[in-house]
Amino acid sequence: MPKVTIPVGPQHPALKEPINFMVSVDGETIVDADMNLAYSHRGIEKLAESKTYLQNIYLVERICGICSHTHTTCFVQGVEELMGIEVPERGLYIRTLVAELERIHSHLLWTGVAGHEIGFDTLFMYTWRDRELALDLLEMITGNRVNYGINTIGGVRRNIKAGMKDQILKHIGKLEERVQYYTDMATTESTVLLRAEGVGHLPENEARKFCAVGPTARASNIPTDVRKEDPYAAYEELDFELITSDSCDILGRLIVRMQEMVESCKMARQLIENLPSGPIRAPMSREVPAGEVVSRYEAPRGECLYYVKSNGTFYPERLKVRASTYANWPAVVYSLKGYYIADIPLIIAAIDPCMSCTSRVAILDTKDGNERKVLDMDYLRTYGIKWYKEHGRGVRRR
Amino acid sequence: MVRTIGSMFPEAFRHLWKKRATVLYPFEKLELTYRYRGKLEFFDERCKGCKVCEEDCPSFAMEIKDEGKEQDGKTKFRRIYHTDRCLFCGQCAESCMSESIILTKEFELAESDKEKFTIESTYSTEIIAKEREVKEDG
Repeated sequence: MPKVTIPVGPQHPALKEPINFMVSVDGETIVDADMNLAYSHRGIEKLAESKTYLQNIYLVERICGICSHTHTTCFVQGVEELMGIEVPERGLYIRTLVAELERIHSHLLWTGVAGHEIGFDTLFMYTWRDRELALDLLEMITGNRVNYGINTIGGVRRNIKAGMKDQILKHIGKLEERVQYYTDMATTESTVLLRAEGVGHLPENEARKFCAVGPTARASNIPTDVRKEDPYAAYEELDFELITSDSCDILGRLIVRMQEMVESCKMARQLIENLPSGPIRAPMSREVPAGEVVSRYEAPRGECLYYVKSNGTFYPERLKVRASTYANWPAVVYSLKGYYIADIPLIIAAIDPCMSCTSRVAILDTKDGNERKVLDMDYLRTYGIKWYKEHGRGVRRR
Repeated sequence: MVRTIGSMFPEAFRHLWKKRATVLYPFEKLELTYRYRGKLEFFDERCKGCKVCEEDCPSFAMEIKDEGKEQDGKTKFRRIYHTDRCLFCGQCAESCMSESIILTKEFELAESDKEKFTIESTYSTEIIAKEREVKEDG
């Protein structure tokens, strides 16, 4: 039987954001897969070069709507390193607390999406309702449910007041209870097990080969976590476990995320109980000394990497962002092979993909031998007039 | 591993007697936290004309134009605030050294007329250079 290749995406009901998979099938089984990225390129890295470091915090925050704190923390950590700023301990604790609450809300969101993809919308409704507890806490601490705007160069912008502690502990208690319930439910409920067990298998050696990060790697039994390997913020002082699973399938990724939420609740409790007193931020100057830095951060989806190059002015010379989803795409292509067409949405959703997070790369093929030149506005105008004369307009005015 | 089916049924039934989670907007509104960042409000009499708000705004929502000296020695300024560009991050209020900007809880800013997104005001002030202070809490 001849192999049939079907395109999934870039606009497809099963995918929430634009991405294209060329899937070769033999009947219902996927035999080969290829992917095309960058349908939502926004030019953020280039835009960052024209904004000051302070303005860039709010720009990078908008790279991702779910893990916005990830991007700002990763960026400010790098800039603080360049400037040689020592962030006060209280500032680091608040930064870590927001990071862990963000992890809880991101993982609960993912659980809901996974529930939706496997056709278990009850799970989706309840996890998203419980996610509100984490969002309420974030709103109380930072003022916003998403895009918190809490980080600044040298520390954080908002303090935790004495009255807030009880409220945070109360909500964390409730979250712990709910997360435990979902962990028990997900590992026994047939609806979940039938769709997730043994699907999207990614063995340990393949995960290493494809450089998978975050829960995807940890579910393939690779103990990798920036919080343990290269502790930043207040993680060095926290007692938490690195969760791994040896099942290497989607169920493993679900369990890893569930148990990570339990660990996050534990960490949030520790952070609140041991919150040091003192200032929340150190004074900063607007000029950043020349130099370059790489900053790492464990986002809910895996390792996020920032490269900042400064030339000693108010503006960065180069900002490079490697979001965690980008590192996980090759693993998705591998884990699609051998499974059914109906499993595509779930296998893609299992890495918790964020398409616009990853769409930051412009590939220039220099091997085709074509001449390249910089086009100015006048050239483009003449070219446009000529092109429309030859091709005609698609939509004519009446 | 014990496999079950319908383990969420008891949870779902329990919710039949629980309070509704949503509110009937616009008749009912959720209570906003006191740290909520909404539309900006300006106290022109406090402004010192340092333009740090314009400098720090990540979305270029603020413009402070110098309109020249007045007879009493004060400088005339024209402030243009674009609500459609504003991100409501509050960086201007934080950077402002004379506390002339505050964030209100107003969030219903939809307009059908584009011109209404631009808020202008003119005021005169004495330019006083002051050291920037680090604010503790927003």
